[in-house]
Amino acid sequence: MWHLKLSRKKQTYLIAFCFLVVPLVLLSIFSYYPIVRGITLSFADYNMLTGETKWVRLKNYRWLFNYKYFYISLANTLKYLIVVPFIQFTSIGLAVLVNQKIPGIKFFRTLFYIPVITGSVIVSIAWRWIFDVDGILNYFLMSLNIIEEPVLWLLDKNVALFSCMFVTFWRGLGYYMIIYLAGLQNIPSELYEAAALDGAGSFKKFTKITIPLLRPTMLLCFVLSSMAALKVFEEIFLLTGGANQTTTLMFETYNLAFNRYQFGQSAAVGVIFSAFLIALTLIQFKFFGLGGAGSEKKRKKTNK
Amino acid sequence: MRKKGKKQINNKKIIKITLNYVLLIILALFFIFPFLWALSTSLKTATDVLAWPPKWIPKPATLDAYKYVVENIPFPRYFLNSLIITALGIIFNVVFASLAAYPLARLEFKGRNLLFFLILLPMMIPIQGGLIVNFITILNLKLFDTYLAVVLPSAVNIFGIFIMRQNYLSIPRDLEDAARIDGCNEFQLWWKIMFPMVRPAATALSIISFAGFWNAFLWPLIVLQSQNKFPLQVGLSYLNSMFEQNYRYITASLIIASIPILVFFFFTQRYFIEGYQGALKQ
Repeated sequence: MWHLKLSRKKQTYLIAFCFLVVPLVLLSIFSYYPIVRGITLSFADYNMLTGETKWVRLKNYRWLFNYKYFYISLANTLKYLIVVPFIQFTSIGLAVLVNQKIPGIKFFRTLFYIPVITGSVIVSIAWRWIFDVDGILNYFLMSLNIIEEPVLWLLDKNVALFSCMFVTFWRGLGYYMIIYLAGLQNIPSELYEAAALDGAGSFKKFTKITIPLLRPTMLLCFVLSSMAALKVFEEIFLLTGGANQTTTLMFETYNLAFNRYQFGQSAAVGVIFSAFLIALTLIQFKFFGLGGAGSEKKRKKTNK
Repeated sequence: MRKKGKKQINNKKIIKITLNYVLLIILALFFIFPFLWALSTSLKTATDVLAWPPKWIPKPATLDAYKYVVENIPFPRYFLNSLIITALGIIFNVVFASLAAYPLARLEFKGRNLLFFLILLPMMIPIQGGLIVNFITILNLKLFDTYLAVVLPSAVNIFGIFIMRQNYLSIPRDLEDAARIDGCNEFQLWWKIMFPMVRPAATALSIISFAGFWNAFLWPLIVLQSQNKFPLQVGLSYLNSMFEQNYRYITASLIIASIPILVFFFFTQRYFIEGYQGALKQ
């Protein structure tokens, strides 16, 4: 009979199961399965039309190691990390600037945040056109006598990647500014008052109070932005289309699969790329402690 | 003497504040310059666009480019598609995260910690590796070229589960016990007591999901084929390749596409910024 009361323990299991089953099924299909299948696919040829998988062992990887753009994309992905410290230090500066209590500051915060909210496509297209040979940027720099002749911002293979990085930088500042602002506002103002009583100047207050207490936020932001830098796609796709030696691992994963239909090779790039990111995450976990439990401990410590 | 000292401090303060504002204005220009330049170009006549040196203020201003773009491009359709995708995404994210986080935070059962670890695990592993496999899965599920295909792979937001769990954890035990004594069953307990308590976190999560789904580009580009299902971002990049060098049309469409999101942001910016802060603070 159904309305016989279930024991509390059984009820708990039943509820836990009901709450978790759909999310877990979705995670299995779209997160766990792709991990396993992605690895096996990298050792196979996949035919999209017939759905057939042919086992080819290391052929995809061998092909990749002879593929010129694999090395270029790997190097570019690493080079892209240069953008991280620039974003971080600039956005800390911005956060300090907009953390002041002066009239109209919310308006400025909003303006700085606009590039984040408008989306990568709008932003990238706008910049693509500013970077044009006859574009406003060249005109600007030439009229200020900074450069003598137009720079091929997106076409010169020595410059193009840096142009993309600049857009990533410009677009990311507002996002990290907000996170740092949250960090700054978490610092109790009594600390500053006490320091002021002890005669500390604003520089001393910044280096002795702000920076040390902002450290957990800084770590979080460094992790987030280095992940984002390694996974960069939109800027490359929309600014240069991967041409002029601006291809990255993420772009190559896309390009091999969806322009050239070489699914196996693309999966192989994906595996190498993932291994790469996992290594990086593990390094960063050393700072954070593992998973939820570690970060809780850390958070408690820093809150006190 | 004393008076003079005070005056000096005052002057110093004024100089400091003025410098602050100068700096803020320069930075503001740096951030919105592309939008202003796009606005100016979109209002120029066809000959003025090519004028050298470039003209800052369009004279005469014309709405021709807007007229062309509006007549030839299904902006309302793109916009509606973005709305549908974003709304679906937010609902899935919030519902699944609120559900999954609850037993992980409040119920005691065997294997709970292992389960939590398993859920966090994919955070470490980039979805990029899953790009192709998920594409094939979507094909096999016969979902290719549907809104659901865009939303489903990111329907469960792991970061969201993490945030929600933290919030459930912070609810005092007494509240739970009191409800139990009053005869609530486990489900009622969640729905009537627990979920209302974490509503601020759910709001923060929906804001974060909004930004994520509204700006999604790569995945919708891959799984959508019919133009009438394109969200704004994909539609726009499609246009960009169509017009290539016609700056007036490109800039006019950029401006039109940014207006809805800017208006939305203008009215909700307080929640937006607080949402991000709230999710990270606790």
